[in-house]
Amino acid sequence: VHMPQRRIGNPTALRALAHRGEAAGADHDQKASTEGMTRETTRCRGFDFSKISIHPPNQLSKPHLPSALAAPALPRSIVQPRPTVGAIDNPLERHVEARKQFATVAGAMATRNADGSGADEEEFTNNGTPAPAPGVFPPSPPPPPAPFAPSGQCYVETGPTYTPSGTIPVTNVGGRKSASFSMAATFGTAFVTDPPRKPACCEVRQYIKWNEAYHTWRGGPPHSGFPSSATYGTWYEDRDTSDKRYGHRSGTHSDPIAGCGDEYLTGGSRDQTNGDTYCGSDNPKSSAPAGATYNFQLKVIDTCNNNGEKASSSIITINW
Amino acid sequence: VSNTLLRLYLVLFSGLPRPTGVVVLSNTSSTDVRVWQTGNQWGDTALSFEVLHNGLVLRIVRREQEYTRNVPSSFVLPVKSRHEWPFDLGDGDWDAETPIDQVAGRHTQLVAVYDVPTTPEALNHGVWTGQLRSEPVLLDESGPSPRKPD
Repeated sequence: VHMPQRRIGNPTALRALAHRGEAAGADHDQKASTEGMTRETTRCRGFDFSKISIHPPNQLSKPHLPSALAAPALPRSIVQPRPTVGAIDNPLERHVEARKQFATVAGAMATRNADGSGADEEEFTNNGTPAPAPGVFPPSPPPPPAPFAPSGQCYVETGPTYTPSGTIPVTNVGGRKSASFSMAATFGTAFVTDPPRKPACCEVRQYIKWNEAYHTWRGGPPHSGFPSSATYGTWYEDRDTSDKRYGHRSGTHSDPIAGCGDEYLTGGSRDQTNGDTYCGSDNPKSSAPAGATYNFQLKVIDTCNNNGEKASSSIITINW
Repeated sequence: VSNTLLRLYLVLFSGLPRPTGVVVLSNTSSTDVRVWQTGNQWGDTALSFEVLHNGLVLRIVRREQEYTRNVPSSFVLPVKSRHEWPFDLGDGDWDAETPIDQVAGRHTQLVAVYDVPTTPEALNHGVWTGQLRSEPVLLDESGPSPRKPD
């Protein structure tokens, strides 16, 4: 049973402590769940935060508890004095200093309060202005577990779209049928939003489904890149036999193709990591008989926010 | 990159009921070489085989595939490295002009052919074009010892 404790000391500094713990916890928890988040947290880890002590000197030897509730316990009876500027031996001052450094090196990485109110902007300005003086506050319940604080968001400016749309023309050469179409989407950048809009958070996905006539003719999915259990009338993320897929900026499914085959661009140049424009094309081929169909659809997902869907295209159809 | 700086080898596994092995593309040049990835219409059609028997040449080509994501995907074969394409001519992915078992016998040989035509896509992607042939490998029941590339 958790007993509420009196909150003593500078709430800003305590939140900074808690936030540091949350950040670590969120990093750990989210690492395996979302590729985009992994990228962000990896980027955070590129900085050597290990050199920034957040513990009073006499607690350095104690285990670090990566929790919002793991702020160093202060004696209840102590009223924390206002820290003197430059007195870095004061634990809270050290925490504030650590938080300032964290905010500085993190740069554009958005940080939010446990309630998601974005109050960090009140606590730390961009140039690291220290928090107000500490004080004594009445008892309050511990803060709830903090949600993951995204360091960015995907904002779709245009698309995703297919060209052409609707029913795609099919050419038939000796029973060998093919269709071609292109894909496009653009993403916005803004640093004044919270979280900031980052094209890197946007990734395109193409989905496919085939009908029963196709499945019966083929005796299964179109090719071995799909699981053998894949069936008709169900959307699957499109891929080739090597399990390469459209729109993955990185990772095992990524297979950037120049010339608007499957790539991200900025200003017309390849920018797979941060490109604000997606450009792709597909040339499905089949020997399926008339009556067999493919459907395709594009989606844009926000890899910085649990792969949430941000936009989708209309569905196109290929009547083989 | 001239053909002489890319080598194609055919390795047949012995003791198997049907021709199975790997085709090895080796880059012996002093520069990296870009080649088609398989899984698309450009890469899948590059590799074929020839069965040599009593003066006859029978072609074995990859069966026409179903493509959903079909883009000209390629990869770089670095200097002094090799890439292997495993194959099983009996897995249903290959079509022969004549069933192999009707012509195969003693002294029948198998040749791997890597043929990349000069297409707009090949030019745009800087992919190596040309034709390479492996040395013939015996395809008889005795199961020849795999020929290892140099």
